[in-house]
Amino acid sequence: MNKKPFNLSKFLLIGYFIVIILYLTFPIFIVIPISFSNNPFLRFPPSNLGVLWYETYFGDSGWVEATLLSLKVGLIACVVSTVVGTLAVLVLERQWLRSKTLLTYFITSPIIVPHIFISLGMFIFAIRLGIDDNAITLAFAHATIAFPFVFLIVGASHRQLDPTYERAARVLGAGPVRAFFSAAFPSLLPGIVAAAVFSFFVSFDELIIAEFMMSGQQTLPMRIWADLKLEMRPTIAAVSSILIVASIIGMGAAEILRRRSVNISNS
Amino acid sequence: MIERDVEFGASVTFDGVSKTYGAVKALSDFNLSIQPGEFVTLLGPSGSGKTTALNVLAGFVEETKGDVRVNKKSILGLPPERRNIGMVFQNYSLFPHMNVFENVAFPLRLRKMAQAEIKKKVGESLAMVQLAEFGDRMPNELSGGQRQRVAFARAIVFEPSVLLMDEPLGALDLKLREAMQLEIKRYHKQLGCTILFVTHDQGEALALSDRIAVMGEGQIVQIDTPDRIYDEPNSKYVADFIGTTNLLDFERLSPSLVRFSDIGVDFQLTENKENWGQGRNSISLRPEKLHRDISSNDQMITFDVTIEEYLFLGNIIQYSVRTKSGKTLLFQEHRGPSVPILNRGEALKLAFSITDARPLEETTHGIGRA
Repeated sequence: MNKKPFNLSKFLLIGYFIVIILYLTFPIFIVIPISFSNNPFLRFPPSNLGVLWYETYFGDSGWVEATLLSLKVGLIACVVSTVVGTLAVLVLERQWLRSKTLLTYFITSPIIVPHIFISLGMFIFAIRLGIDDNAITLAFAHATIAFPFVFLIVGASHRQLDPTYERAARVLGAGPVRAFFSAAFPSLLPGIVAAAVFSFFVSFDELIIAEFMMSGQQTLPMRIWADLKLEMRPTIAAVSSILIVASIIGMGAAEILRRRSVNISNS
Repeated sequence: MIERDVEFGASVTFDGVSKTYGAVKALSDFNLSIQPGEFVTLLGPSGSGKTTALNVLAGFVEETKGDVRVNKKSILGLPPERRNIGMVFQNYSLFPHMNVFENVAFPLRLRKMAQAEIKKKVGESLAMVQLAEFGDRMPNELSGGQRQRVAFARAIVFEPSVLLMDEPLGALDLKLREAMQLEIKRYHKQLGCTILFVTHDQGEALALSDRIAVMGEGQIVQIDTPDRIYDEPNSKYVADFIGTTNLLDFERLSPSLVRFSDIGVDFQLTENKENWGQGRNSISLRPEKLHRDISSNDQMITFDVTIEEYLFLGNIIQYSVRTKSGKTLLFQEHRGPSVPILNRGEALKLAFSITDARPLEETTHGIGRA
């Protein structure tokens, strides 16, 4: 065997890849170790290992309430944006519309419009209707920013659909709705689940709109932000670590589901 | 085996059906009558309208004009699920999340059939396609041929009045395709159902059909039995599309005298003179209708050629030969002990009988006949 010649470009490319991955995941390597210290301050590297701050988090009713509120808002926002986003995909992908491109831009615009403007607009709107400081209102506000992601993710899986499956169901005797649910929906489902998980985290993570809309109650990001402003205690690191693990599990499960279904329909 | 009521084989009539997409005519005044139990193939290149015709019958495409009748009853405006038509798709379209049994049971469940009856019918259908033991398998655990057989079982299990097949063998390899052709022939004989089959493969059409409708530009150019389509194409378009053929130009010098300038022969017609008129100016001559033994006969035409090249096809040898005027023709011979292979550059006389020559219409399409 010949010795492989030293390949500089390959070497640089691998180095570049490692640097980028480290850059992207860097916070995780700081936050998770810090959360397991018993020091009263955020300090790296951690000394005096322990689970003190996890105990503080679960023992403090303020933290728990903020977490529950965020869960509630996130779940409602997830259901609303997933249902509406999926329906939007079905209309835009199946109906011949003259203004399709315009509508698509309109639907995806919340991705581009700065959240601060969206927050301001919604805040004024909610005050007028007297529905500010309300978890449901916040959930619907979050649904509007999660909606474009659902539209894009479900839209991508819809374009993978083979229309002959639904045609087959139709000739076999199924009406249009039944044909959709028996022939198309199972193939769309993993995309819909992935979109739902994603939209949940869009809401769960969101600070700016929540800061505008909520005055009495605090969501988890609001609580973290408030804590950071006052005192830098490692509770935040503990909360962040829990969130990181929860998102990895959620996203991972969604991705596994999606892959499994792709395998079934492609083979 | 499965017993069918008389209704199973229905008649199908396309009556002046047109379908336009903007300025494009996918079907223009399409007429076709299919007898109960008949196997009719729509054969044509892509864009000839064959799939549109099938989709109009299935109810996926709404016709712009005309009427479609099944058993003399118009099905205009009925949604696909109420037409009771079976369909087999090229990509099988088995639902990937259902096992074989559930796929075949699907149309029966929609018809609210009792569980015991469903079990019996699905069992019979799967037995017919020789997959009785495969009910528990998922579609992705089956081979292409097995999937196509399940798709077939699913299409016939609810006893549709007509069975549509849209290039059902297109995704299979050659060996499997030939085996499946025999299978389909067997199913058709057993079920006695009316089948409308769509393909662009002329070999498949010739092998399977009772009648072949050759399509061009949204119309039927010629419809006839496979042997007559092959032996008596009515136009250059059909002669060219079905099998391989030689096209020879001719000129009519008098009502009974024709000149074949490609081979330098003038010929005195004695029979069927009327076939040589009406704007026809070329003939189709199948390569196997040319031969080298020149028994003299007043219906024979002989001419000189030189061998240019040959293709060895196993039981057959196909020569390309050049005439004195420089035209290249194909000539096929079966191999045999008394038939030595001809060498390149060899000169010889070839002959054909005037009765094997088909005067062709110039038109490429547009003779819609039911």
